[in-house]
Amino acid sequence: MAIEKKYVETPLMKQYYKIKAVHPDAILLFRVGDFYETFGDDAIETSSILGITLTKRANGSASSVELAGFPHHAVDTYLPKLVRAGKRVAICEQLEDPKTVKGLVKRGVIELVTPGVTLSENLLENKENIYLASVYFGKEKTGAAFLDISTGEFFIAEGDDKYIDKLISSLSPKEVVYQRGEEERFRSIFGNKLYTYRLEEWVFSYSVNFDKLCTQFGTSSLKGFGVEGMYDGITAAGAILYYLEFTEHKQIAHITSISRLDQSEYVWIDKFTIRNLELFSSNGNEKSCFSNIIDRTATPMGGRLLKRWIAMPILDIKRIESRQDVVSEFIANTELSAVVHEQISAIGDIERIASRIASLRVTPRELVQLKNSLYAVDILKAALESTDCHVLHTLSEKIDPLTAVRERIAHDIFPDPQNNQIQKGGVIAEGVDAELDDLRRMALHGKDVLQAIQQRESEATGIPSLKISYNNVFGYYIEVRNTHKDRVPESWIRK
Amino acid sequence: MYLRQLQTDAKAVATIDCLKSFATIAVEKNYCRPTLDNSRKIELKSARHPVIESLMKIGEEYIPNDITIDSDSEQVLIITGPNMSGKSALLRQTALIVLMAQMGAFVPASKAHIGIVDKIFTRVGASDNISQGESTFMVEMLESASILNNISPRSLVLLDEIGRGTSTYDGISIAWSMVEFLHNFRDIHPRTLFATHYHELNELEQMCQRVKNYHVSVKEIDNTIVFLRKLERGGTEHSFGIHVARMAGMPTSIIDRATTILKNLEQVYGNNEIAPSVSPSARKRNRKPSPSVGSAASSGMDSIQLSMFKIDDPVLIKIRDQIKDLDINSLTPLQALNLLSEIKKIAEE
Repeated sequence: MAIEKKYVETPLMKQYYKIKAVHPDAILLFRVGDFYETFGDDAIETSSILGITLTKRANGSASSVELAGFPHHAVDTYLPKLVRAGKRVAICEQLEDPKTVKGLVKRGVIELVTPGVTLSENLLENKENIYLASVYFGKEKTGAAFLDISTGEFFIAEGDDKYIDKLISSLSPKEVVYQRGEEERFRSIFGNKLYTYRLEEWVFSYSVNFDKLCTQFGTSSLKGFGVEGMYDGITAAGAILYYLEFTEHKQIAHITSISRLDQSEYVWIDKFTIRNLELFSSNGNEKSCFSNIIDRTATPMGGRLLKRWIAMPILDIKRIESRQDVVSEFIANTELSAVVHEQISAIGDIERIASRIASLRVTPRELVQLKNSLYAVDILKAALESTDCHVLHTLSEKIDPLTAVRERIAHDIFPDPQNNQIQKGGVIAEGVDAELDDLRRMALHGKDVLQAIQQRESEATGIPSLKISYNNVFGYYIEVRNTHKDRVPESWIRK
Repeated sequence: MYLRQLQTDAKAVATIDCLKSFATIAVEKNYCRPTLDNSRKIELKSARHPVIESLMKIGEEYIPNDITIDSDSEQVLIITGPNMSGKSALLRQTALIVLMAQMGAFVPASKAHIGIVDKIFTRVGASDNISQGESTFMVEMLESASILNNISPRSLVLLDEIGRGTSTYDGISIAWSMVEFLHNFRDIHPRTLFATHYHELNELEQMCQRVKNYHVSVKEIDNTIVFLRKLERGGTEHSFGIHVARMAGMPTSIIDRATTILKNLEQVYGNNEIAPSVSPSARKRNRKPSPSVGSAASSGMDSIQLSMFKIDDPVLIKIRDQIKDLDINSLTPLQALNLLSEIKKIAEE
């Protein structure tokens, strides 16, 4: 690469360029000690987006490289800004503990954050889905897939270009991937307002992608999802899984199924109409748009589903009527309505918590929230069962309040964890681990422990004036007066 | 696995949450449960616009309206009325009510019956899209073309001031032929609402069996207008544009001048008779001969603006040519003054 030659290379910079070469189109946040650093053009861009200082780093006598960085704990503030500015950001961490390694620490990219693939809490709007879309232009049809990695929702569709365009305007994905070489066709159908990324043609292979999906879902075919035979859709959906690998998102056990978006099931609402009816924004203002005005949902996942229902009204009268039946029941049965309202309001974003569990990012407070939510789910299930409404019965049968999970959390984790990071302590409840309890007791009641040791030793040796003291040189030590030195056990060391 | 079940729970909770939300707003805003079937009708009683209604200040009241559309009889409703009278709101509320009904929600009306709609198309004339480098009229036509190529028998088509983005004659002609197309094309007969301030389109009712005229009522009291916002049967004669200008605070001198010009124009062309020559009913009727309109119609009516005075006077032609050849951008103020004095000389000759 051209940039490489411009600078004299220190070992650190060599490592940097090697990693940068893998992700040339992303801004590389390179962890150095307590800082994330960016170099060269990345630094110029980063400093202007984030408004941080751009400096130069001397690499030997003749050359220097631009540098901009920020403390690692500020990543939650700065990362969303970069992504919102439409940047792809590769986060490169130190993979070894610098204290235990001599010389250069091993580093690697642990996550590539893009507008469509993000799990960072600060980037997620509660009531909004963040879809990554994939489009594949097949011989006869066009296939598409949509994934919200933060919730695990995964959709597949097939049809003509117009239908896919319509879906894209309904679900408004934050990022769309498609085949390299199809730029012109893509732009002529979908315009140039989408954030896109092009993948190599070989990524779009039906048989490979079919297997990829089966492996992901742990099935031997895709019949169970009703998508078998959707060649172009499956090709597009597999490309999404490839893209997740490519962006180092490997903990994706929460993507458990895929559902089909069938043209014949939904009302066709094209993008002009979505705009004219001001469904999701009114002249750029989201407050007075239709979806916001009619939204009375209490949970984030309810809010997200409502948006999808608005974008995709249904055609089947029976299905519409079964929804209406529930609404009527809630209106007529005020008692039920009150219980449902109370319980639903207590339920957190369990859909996203599920994803965070799968991606090993769940925080202690989220687990507590999950526990509290499951209590509410339990009461909700009972309330639904007690009604005469058939539809509510069916819904209640699907619900399992996961009592075992709930009890385990209640048993293992403090109801109000002191810290939201497990490393900082104060998370795991007492009685879970004997060693932990012991260590905690010492940390919290150090004086008592010392007192007990002092008393124990005093009694064992018969030295009444024995004392435990502390200084900066020795740390804790036992002090014995000269008069009693004969009684000191041999195992003690004299200083 | 727990994860899968947790996701199932999340989905069920989301569904209940949405339906509960429907119930809450239905009680709060007094919505009704719509009935649905496979007919091609839409019948709404005391329908309101869900968003406008919610955003109204306390004390203001949204005027509800009844509306019936039926592919077999009242297929295309032409809704005339002055600007600001609430035509657009009426169109949008109809679409939103259909959409809400098919989401499974209750709707802002006292009674609603909806034959399933499978596509909703809405187009608004001259919407601003300049940033993309297409002219507003081009955008309007692109959007309209995509409707006409995609309509189905169960479509709901809402056209708001289509044709506004071009000259009056062009606009009327395009609007006119679109209505004819929606009415006649095969047996599709999509349910259509067409809001326009071209009251000329009212003539279509006599020619097309399933086209019906409606207007949003307005009362004229002492030269000012009161918007009643009530949908009523029949067309309108005036577009009340000057009244709206007055309400907007235009200087009185301009309003007075505009009123005079309007009167003159109405005398020359005859009120409400700028109907396109393609209208057989218009042709049948014996109109005052008006040379300028006639020639416009015979020349295919392309982009003829209303001319303020007839140019057949050679002096005027000379002046016109002089002005036409001007390149204003390269003129200095002094040159401009000189030219003006030249023109004055020609006129005085």
